[in-house]
Amino acid sequence: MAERSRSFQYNERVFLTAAHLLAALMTLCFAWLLITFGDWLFYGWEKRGLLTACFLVIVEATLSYRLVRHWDATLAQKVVYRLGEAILLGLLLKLVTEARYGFEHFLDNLLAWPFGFGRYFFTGEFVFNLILFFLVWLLATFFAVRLHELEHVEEMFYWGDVQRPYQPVHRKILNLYLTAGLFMILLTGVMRQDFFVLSKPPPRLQADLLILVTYFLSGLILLSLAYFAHLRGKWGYEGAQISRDLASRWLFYGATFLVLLTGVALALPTNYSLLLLDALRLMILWLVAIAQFLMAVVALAFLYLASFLSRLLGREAETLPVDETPPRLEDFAPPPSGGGVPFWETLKAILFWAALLTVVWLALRQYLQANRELAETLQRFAPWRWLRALWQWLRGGYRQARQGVGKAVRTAINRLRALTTPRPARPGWQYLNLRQLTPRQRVIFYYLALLRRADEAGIHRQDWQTPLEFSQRLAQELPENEAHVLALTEAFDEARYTAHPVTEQDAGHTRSLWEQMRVPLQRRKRGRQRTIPS
Amino acid sequence: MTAQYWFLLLVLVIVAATVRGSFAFTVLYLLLGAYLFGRLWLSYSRKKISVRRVLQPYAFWGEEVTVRLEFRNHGLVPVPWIQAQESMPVNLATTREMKRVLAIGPRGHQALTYQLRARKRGYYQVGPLFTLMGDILGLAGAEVGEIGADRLTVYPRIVPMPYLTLPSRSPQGTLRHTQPIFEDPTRVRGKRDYIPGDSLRRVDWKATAISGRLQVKQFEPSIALEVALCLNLNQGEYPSQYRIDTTELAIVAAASVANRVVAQRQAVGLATNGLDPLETSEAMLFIPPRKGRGHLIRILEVLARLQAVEGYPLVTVLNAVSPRLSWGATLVVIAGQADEALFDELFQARRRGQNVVLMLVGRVVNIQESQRRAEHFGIPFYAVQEEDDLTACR
Repeated sequence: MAERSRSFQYNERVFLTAAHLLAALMTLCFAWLLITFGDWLFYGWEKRGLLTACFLVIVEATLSYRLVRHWDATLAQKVVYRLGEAILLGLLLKLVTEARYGFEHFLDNLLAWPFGFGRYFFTGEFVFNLILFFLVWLLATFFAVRLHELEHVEEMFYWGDVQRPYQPVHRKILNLYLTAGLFMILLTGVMRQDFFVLSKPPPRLQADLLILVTYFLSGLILLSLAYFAHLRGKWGYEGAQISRDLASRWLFYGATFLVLLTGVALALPTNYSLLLLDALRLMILWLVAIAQFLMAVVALAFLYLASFLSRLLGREAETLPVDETPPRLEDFAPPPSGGGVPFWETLKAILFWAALLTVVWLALRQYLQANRELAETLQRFAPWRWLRALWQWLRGGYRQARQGVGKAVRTAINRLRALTTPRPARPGWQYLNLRQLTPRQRVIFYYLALLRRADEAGIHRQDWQTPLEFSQRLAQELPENEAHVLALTEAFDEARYTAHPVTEQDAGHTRSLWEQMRVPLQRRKRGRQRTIPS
Repeated sequence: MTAQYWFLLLVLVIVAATVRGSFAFTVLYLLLGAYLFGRLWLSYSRKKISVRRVLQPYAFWGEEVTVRLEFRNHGLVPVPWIQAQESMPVNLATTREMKRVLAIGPRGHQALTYQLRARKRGYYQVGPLFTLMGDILGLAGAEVGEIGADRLTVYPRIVPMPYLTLPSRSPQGTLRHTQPIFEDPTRVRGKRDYIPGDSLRRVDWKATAISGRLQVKQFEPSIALEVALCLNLNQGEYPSQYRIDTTELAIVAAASVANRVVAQRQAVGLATNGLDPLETSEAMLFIPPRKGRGHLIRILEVLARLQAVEGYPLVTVLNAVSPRLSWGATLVVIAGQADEALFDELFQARRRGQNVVLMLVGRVVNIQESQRRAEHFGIPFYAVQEEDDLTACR
């Protein structure tokens, strides 16, 4: 670790600072939602200055944890410190709670303490604020603990191996993030219900959405940073060399990914005016209408063709009697719109249900893939098997239909191509005439003939073997013909891979070499056939 | 993905269905999208990435081999991180391990290189390469991949033997010999006047017609070096405490002699009772004598792979090889020790008209006795205790 470069340490510091800021932002979102909830729950609750105070509590909790962590003190000293911290925070909170109503109010409350400390100090508002601050302080401290682990992740790997199994720190952060997020979602859900008649109407829609999206998005960024820190610690522990641009690329790709993800999440429809079955019914009606339209188009074309043919045959269509009565204006009136759903709302509802069902289906699929045992249990369950069989049948039918259509289309295209492209002239004689070949082609022919004969004799040329390599193999198998093999291979190399002129004499020489090779190869082939039982 | 994540998604679906609130759907899309898109990203990247290992399959002793791993992303989506760990042959590795982490952009490529030093002859496996890829949130898990291994053959060390001369009884050959016992009719040295007693076959009729006097051709004396190396790699015939070093030295000696013979444009072959891992048959390994650098490389490849095993005794190998060699060929026997049976067999080879050379390698027990017996049978004898001794062989 000592030899780490300055840029590496700088990157590490930037990452950790960013992680601390994100954790503070998330805790602040948490506090903001709690305040919104309190405001919704208690009509007339004073919430001025609470968010600022919560921010200070977050800062205090983070710094305090770091102080205690690095403080070389006994447990008793640390407990005393924590108690002192709690009292001080309580007093400050009391001060903030009362001071918001004015100094005189605070003074009156202070002077009343000797006459009933419990009653005047622990007022309802103060207790609620205390709970709020405690929750915020607790979350901030938890984040501080996890971020401290993040800071020393490489050491955690080392000691994790020695002392106990190490649980990845990004997993711990994920758990904390999800727990707090779950709590926030439940609070928001409660706020949207009309449980309490006395409560205020639900807060503005966009406010809590903004808080939640900020919290979860910040959490994902923090998760990404934590995962990177975890991996970097692991790689450092294992001695892996990390590419210089990895951190910058990580940041860039992560930011792009999350921006796109947020865009998609915000763009997808989130409300629906039609229930699932209604949306399905409308969708089927749309499909039927489209099919009818297509059929009408085909029928129109057919009718047009039929009328054209009948005209060619000299038969005139019968003229139908025309109704001479003028049309009434009521006949052209649009249909009554009562009960109809606007097009845009229908489309939105269909999109919503399609997105939701896709999400549920994908989630279920991923979950079953991750939990093999559950998947196996489900496979033994009869209705599941039937569903699966039905799905397979549908898929098979779809695949067959697709293949059939594809084949028909390909055949048609090929026929059309055959009609348009001129056919190549078929040669009258299919056999190879050596006399019509050039000397170069003849040399190549003899070498290829050698390969074929060698293959028949059981000496196969592998794909990866060059002519020279194969010639060595052949020479090994037929040592008495080594010179012929080498000469023939050399002639082939010359003819095939060089631009040197190949004369008739060369071709004749190659032929004589081939003639001398043919006999031993035939002999070997016959011997091989005898040894192979039929 | 943790169970808690799924639980939160379930709660979100319930809340969304109950409340009809936009917040629940947006958060649901966000969290589920983070997981699903992450998985899709990872799965797509895994399919679109290809890795290729580039290295030369052969190396001479002492050379440095550069291995290059080429990562190519064929997809339009970047690969945020990929961890690559290459298994390296321990005998050749220059670093403790090769583990790197890199990121590859869309349609981008990256290359990793590392060096191997050919310190020890052998047939090595380079790789496999294990890869690990993941998303950027840690939700989608990690995908493990494996790229197959390649082979690298390190030839045994070749020590120059500039002074080594191997005798032959062949009457026709291509090397000049200092003792004019045999003459090669294909190598004309000059012409001289006829002396009574000269064979009429030697008369050069064209030169006679030109000069008007009977002229006869003079030929150069020569030898033919068809050398067969007989390498003993039977473990039992080497002293157990020096077995590894001695067998390695024997292989180096064989490679050096083969190199020397080929450098003289002569044919060389190899017979051994060692084990070639690529040879499927259990028969004794015999490469007939041939000329050329290509043939030398073939012998070196076999020598690179050979392993000393409990195999046939050397005498059996000699018994099998000697009759397959032509008259006048030279048989170079490389072994760790020489006993009575071996000398008997060498003597039989001599009687068959072959020249025999004995080369004992390593710490030979009772070397003086072996030398004395070799001299008694008229067999040239070399004792090689270290690789440098090969240079001095003459």
